[in-house]
Amino acid sequence: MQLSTKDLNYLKDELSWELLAFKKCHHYAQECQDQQVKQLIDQMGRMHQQHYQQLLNHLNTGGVMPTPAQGPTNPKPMSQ
Amino acid sequence: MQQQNNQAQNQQQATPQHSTGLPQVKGPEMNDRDRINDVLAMEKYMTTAYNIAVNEASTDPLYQTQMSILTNLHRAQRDLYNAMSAKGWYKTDPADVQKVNQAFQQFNNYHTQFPYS
Repeated sequence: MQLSTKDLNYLKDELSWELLAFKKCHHYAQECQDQQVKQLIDQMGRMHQQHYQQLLNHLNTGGVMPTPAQGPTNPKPMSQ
Repeated sequence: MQQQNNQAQNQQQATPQHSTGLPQVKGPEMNDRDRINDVLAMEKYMTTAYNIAVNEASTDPLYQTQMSILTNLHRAQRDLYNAMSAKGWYKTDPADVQKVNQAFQQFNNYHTQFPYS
């Protein structure tokens, strides 16, 4: 589906917010003392990374949709 | 800051709004409350930004993706708020009951202006 210039600008912004969001959540979760807070923030990070993949799919005009579980943007799961 | 901590120690209240799990004396380093608060502020910022994008999406698939993300962010924001509230990290100020009643009286009287029966 053809994107407008405005769509593209929003998508690029959104991808940047999501990228920062899951990097931040991943970092914070590692520092948290409280297990409940740690889990909640880690869960938010995973959500933001999923959003990133969903948005990226809209930019992929070649028809090859990368699967959410793969790709270089996938941070390592937290060590328990 | 120091005074507040001493007060909290002296009172030893077990109210639901009592803060838990924070260091007694706070230093310049970020604690769990700072971290969760920062994530909450970020979610709030993102819902505002996504809302504008949703309003202007040109195609339906793009609208649906962004709308679903917006819903997720609202849910996340709520989960963070609930967690903070349970720990007493997000205190709210109850409104004056008399003022609530006053407002009810005022707006209840506007029934005469309703065009629909």
